[in-house]
Amino acid sequence: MTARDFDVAVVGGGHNALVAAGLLQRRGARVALFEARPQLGGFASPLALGEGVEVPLAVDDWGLVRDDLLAELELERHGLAWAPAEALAALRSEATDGDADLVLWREAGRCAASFEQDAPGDGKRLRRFLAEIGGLVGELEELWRRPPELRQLARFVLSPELLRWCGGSLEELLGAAFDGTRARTAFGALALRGSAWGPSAAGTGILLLHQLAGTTAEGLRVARRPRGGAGAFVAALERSAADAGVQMATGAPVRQILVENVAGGSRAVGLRLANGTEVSARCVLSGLDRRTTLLDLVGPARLPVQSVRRLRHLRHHGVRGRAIVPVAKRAGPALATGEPGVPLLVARGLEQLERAADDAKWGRSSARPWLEVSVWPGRAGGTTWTINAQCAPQSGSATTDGAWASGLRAAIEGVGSGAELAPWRDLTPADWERELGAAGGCEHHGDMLLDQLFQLRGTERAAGARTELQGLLLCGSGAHPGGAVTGLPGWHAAELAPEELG
Amino acid sequence: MSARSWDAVVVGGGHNGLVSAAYLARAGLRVQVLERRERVGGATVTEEPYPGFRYSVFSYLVSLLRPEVIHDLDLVRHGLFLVPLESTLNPLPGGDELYREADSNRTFANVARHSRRDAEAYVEYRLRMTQLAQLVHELQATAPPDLVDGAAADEDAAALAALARRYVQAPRDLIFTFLQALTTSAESLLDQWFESAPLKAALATSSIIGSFVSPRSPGSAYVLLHHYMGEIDGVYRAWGWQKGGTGGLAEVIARAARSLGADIRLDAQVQRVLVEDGEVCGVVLEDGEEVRARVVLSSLAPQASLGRFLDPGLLPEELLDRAMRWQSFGCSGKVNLALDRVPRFASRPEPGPHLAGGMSIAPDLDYVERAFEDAKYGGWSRRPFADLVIPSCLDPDMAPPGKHVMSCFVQYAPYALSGADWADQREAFGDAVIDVLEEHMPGLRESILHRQVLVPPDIERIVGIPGGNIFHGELRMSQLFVNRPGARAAAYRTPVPGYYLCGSSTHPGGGISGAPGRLAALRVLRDLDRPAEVSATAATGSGA
Repeated sequence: MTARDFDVAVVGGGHNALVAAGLLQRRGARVALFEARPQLGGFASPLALGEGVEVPLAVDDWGLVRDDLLAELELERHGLAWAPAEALAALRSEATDGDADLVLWREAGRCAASFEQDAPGDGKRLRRFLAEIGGLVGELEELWRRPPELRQLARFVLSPELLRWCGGSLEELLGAAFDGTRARTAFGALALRGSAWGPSAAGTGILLLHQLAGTTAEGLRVARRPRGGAGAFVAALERSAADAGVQMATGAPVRQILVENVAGGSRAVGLRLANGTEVSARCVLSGLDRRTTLLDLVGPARLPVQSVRRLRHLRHHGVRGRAIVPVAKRAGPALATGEPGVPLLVARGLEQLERAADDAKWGRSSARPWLEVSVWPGRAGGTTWTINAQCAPQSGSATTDGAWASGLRAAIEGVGSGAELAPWRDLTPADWERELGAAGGCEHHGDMLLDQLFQLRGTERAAGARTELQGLLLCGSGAHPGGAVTGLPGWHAAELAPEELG
Repeated sequence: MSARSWDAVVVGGGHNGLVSAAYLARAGLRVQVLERRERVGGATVTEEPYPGFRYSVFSYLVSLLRPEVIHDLDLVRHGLFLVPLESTLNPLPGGDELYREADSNRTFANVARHSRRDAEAYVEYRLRMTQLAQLVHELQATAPPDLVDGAAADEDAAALAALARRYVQAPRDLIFTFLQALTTSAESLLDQWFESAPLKAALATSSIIGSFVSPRSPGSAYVLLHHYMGEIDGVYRAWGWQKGGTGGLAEVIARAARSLGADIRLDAQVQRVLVEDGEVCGVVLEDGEEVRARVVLSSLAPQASLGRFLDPGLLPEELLDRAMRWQSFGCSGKVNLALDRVPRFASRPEPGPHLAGGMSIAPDLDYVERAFEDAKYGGWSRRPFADLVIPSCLDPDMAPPGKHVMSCFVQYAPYALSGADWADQREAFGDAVIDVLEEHMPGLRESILHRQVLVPPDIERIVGIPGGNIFHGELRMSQLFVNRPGARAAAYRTPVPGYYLCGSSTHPGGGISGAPGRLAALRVLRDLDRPAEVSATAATGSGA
């Protein structure tokens, strides 16, 4: 037995990796974390625009963070405070100002009133929808908080509603739930953020359930931002980890996960960094996606043939592009809510979402992308808009893809009519892949339909946080229960790690 | 006649209604089948629209018929005569082809011409699919449980527990692939084995038959597996032609039912189900005649069974809403051709055994995807997918000597066209089908004597399936098992005591399997405390 440098070495410093590292250190392990970029946070990182202005690099939604699971990290004590919003999102379906927007107010009564005005009867339907979704996400939350197991299948098989929502298409489900086109479009767009599927695809219903975790009959789940700016959440995670004693290195890309042969297979024993440094550890956690972790950092030679085949065929189809647009004056988009913390979805209907997904399928960028617009403070009293647009080109950007550039420009001008737009920059899946190491530029670290969830979010040999190797766990979105800023995969890995530490 | 009293009335004389009737009669019940048309069969009918040329007008092949149904009802004695289809030809552009024959060595060589690796993987694939088909078979042979407060009723618990044990004990790899097959797309599933476009497309065609999906749609792998359930005498993935067409099969089951004592009444359209004091007591026909019975089984789709036939106050609002929103928009058409000579393929100009097999036009997955996209936005496929059989090459009685009939099952022809009407589009769609066929069978157009083009509204009008969906509703997870056709109606019972469902819109769904009809009848017999002696289903899952 050789002395190990650390109990746990963590690959990557995304929010889930920070959660896992912080929890394990607090529970008595010695943890080191290595992030390739100069900035911690991964998809949840801030992007500094100079003069103290920052926007989120990729993700604008913190409403799915499971606060209770992160209580141990004492994030409030480390500077985290949330600014909750009154609404989850608003939808703009035509080129008008805010008056015509449909607002998804948090509180059931207020939301029902806005729906009722949009389509008579939809107020009552919204209440029924909330009760149904509330029940389902309550049931799913139990499964999301447990390692996936085959017996959970019985839950699905015996629950008509769960089967219907997990196996149905958004088009059929939302068509049954609401009369109003805009209500259908708003929930459809919320669900399909970051997904390569269109609303007519069977199985897309579960995307909405993931997005609405925390919803109850009393209202939609919370929408919020960290007070103090886009980077405040990651900064609190970092301070909490540092305070506990986690050793964190940035600008330290990991090149290889070191593996030894042991009885019954292989065991991860440490890391090799790009600069040649080797770090030994009793257990390795990877915040990278499953394919990148196993095929690139471990290598196919260490894996069963069947697993290699499965890993190669996991779908990682990044579709979300992002424009970051400084706006000189405090101008539009005029928000129906009057709250800058509420994202504005811009989509004309489910068909636009469908056609955008078709574009992605054929490897084109959308000539008419649909958008999610968030407004942030900008320089000199102005604002900065972050605009997520789907579907973006798989490779290339606005400088190389003329159709994408003009589609995006038209969309931005449509939202910000009259605003003084400064030169903007755009990010596409190619950037997510290069900058953040996500296979295929997929922010969810793998498609989130049922064939890549639960027991199937993995290979024949290993699902959940587990991998084919002893001593190697996944702690990012590629593990159960999947993507978005939740902290769940990091928490799962921390729960499981003691088994690996022995 | 009307004075007679019945134990059971079965509404609809399609193959499932007939199977139910036969099982009930076999247990000693007095059974009345009521069929709206002048013949039995529903979508399984053979007609002679042009003198001497006979067609299986709608459904065209038999493969899914459950062996236990064949044995329990003694169908062979009543004339079941299946001619197996032994090969599948996929013509490709430029006179190329992919030909899979009964001889597996020759198939290996034919596939290897496209990819040696695929030829090897095909052997492994077929084995794995057979194993999966056995697992699905067990699921399909199990009646969905009646759910009471989210748990299975006692009467169903044992069967479900047995099913769960079987799955827990199955090899982990197999279960993983099984779960994938239940959830993923046909393309994702096939990509794990194969690399060559023609083979993937050829195999993927089973994933779209009768379904408004493409091989890239999530859930299409299950449709593929559903078709893999085809089993003739224990041999999975065997397709057969019933002598005399599928109408011949309906006649066979009708004969079996009659010989067991059931009475089949034609030209009898049911208007509504008769309910007194909250319990079913018969049906009322269009002309007002009442036919009384202790139980009523409807083989019709939920829009009729739960909607039209019942007073809306009798059902929970959710179930009624569900029935009305039932996804059953058909997307499949049928082009039936009368030919004055045998068709010749560019890749195989001489007549041969391939003409007695299946043939399908789907050169690659992109081709099918484009065809699907046309339909997704409300148009018909400019370049359709087609699945062909030449019945006269299998069964000379189907056409005059030297002449032939060709059955072309085509997709996609969506029920509702956006901004257009099928009345104006039907023949244009027919032309598009012929254009595609002509590319692979030069000279076909000139040899056409008659052409019949049927699209989903025709199927709806003639057979009575709302939306014209050949499976009585999409085979997607949201419409399967405890959701087929909806909560509180999936266990063949409905919330109205004495009223049952027995058609393709119940578990396990469409195809000429007889499985829904059988499971429904068994449920009725148990409720009436009339246990039936039937073949065990699990024993047939042993494979070839």
